[in-house]
Amino acid sequence: MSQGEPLVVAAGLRKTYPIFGGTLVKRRTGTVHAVDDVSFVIRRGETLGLVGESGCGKSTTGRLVMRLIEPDAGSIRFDRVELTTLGRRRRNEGRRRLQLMFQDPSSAFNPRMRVGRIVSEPMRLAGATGKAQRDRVAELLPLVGLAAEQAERFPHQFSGGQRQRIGIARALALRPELIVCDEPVAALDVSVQAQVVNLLQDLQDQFGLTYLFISHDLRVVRHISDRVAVMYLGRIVELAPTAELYGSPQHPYTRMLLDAVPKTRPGGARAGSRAAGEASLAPAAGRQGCLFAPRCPHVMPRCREEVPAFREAAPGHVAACHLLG
Amino acid sequence: MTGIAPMADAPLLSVRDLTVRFRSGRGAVTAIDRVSFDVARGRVLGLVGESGSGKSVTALALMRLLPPDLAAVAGEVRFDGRDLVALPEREMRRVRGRHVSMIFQEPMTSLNPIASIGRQICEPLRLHLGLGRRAARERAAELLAMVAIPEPRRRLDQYPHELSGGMRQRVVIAMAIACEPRLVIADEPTTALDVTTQAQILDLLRDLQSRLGMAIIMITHDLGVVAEFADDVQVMYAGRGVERAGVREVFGHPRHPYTGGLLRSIPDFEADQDRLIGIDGTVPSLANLPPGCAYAPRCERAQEDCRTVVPDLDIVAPAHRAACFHPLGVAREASP
Repeated sequence: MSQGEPLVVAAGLRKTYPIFGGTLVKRRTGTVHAVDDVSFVIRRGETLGLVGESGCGKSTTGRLVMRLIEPDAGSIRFDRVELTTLGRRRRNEGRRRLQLMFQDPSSAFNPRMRVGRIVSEPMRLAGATGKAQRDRVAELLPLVGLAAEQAERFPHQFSGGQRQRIGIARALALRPELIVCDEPVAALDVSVQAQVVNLLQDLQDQFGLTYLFISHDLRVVRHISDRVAVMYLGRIVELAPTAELYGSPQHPYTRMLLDAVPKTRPGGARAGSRAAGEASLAPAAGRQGCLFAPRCPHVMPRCREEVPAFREAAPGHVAACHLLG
Repeated sequence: MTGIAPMADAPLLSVRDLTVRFRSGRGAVTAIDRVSFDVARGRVLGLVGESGSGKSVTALALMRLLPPDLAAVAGEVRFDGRDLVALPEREMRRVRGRHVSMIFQEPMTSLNPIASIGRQICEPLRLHLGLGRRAARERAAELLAMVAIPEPRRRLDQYPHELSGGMRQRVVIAMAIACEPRLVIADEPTTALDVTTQAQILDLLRDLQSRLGMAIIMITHDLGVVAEFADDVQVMYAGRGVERAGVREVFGHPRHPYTGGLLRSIPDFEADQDRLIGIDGTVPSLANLPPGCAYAPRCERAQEDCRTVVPDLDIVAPAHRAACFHPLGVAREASP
């Protein structure tokens, strides 16, 4: 699967947001670097996991790929077409090939719309006929494990897991090639989460879908991803095939993150470095050198001055750490 | 000190048949149904379950924090020999925060946004321990140091919004341990936190627990947190206790099919799996529970008896209880 051609090529993505302060007159007092020089490739048919803690920029990256927000710099090519310079009309046409799934899909559902209408809405906006919409809904609902008759019901008549299935059906309505999944199972109970993860994998096999899977859950990401990128304060610090990343993490932050996951085998002493400190997006913290340096157990003087470049630790396994150089 | 006499062998907390019924527009809903468990002195009980299992309602009922006009509480909650359910509110107020305290998921629900950190930590110290202004402030700074907040003296004059989520939860913990309670009820204390911050908070709680010798009820949906933190575990499902044993027993030899299913649902962190094995169906609505075992409609082992009779939380193995007529492991041995 990982031999697929590149479907998404993101290069040097940058997105900053201004911070305003002041008591009487609001003035720009600083900048948040939400996404800072982020580059990656997603190959057709694979799942790229994007992990990191809150504020690391993983959702912003997902929205940049969807072009829901404009990058300050950098480029995104989708199937060899540059998205960042595309006009609005071509962009909207292209957008049906990319879909987004959220943590809580029902926040995007109109509670007074029947499920059939919710699922077919993207088709309606794309100009499909009523019959085509109804036929597609009758096809989609069984695909995601719901009964076709449930199209007549309202969102509140479904459980959280079922609502996520409705969200998946809607994301599939226009037969997309890439789905950006932003914390799709974070709000679900663990027993239901497994059902939805399995469904996402089945649909991928069936339709050759490509996923950008954004999550803070390192267990789910390990299970579903072919490759994983770890973000910290707006930058990717490590990217590797899943087994590589979890088996021999190279960046000290990746190691800290993995060590912090509670193990489900009681009595197994937690190994390695214990988590210390916390990430700060405060602009005062400065952006010179490695952003993890203030928390890093292996910090060297060089780390505070020089941004580490990506170095290859193994084929396809890169990490941005001076320890590797 | 108030007149609560320690009794050497009895458990610190003994809950028997605790039942909470909520009055609602469409009749009464039983949120928790005859829940029983013990917490030994200085031990950690993990109360684990999915949404709607009744774990948070249990905590609120123990603390007597449910609105009396909406919730009818029955059963017995013996804390150091006294029944908290029957205690007059005036006396209950002396127990709360002094002998039993609580930590909530979202620190801002327990912090006053317009009061300084110092004032908030001093409040229980002055109220319960009768400390003077200066002594309370002194003690508050010590407490902040105990929960590993840097520059504790400066923090006393700061406000909650000036702290990060992890630091706020440390302040809440400092408030909870201020009077050195014998029991702390922690309701999803790390759920809102990032995983590296969660690890730090769990380490802190464990350290404080061994230093102060307090017992903890750790309420969580996260089986990993339970495995790392708890000595004993009670699994809840749809308002009932379905399994209770030591932590190694529960994770090593789950007896209730629900516990087994829950453990299987978690993606493995060490081995690769082709597919996850979830549990089919969803948690039933409390307003509409099936007769018999609430898990029966989702259970692959369910028989006719499961669909008619509610199983009791009975002993199925030494020091191991499960509310199941056809428990895992046990039945397999009986009929090979």
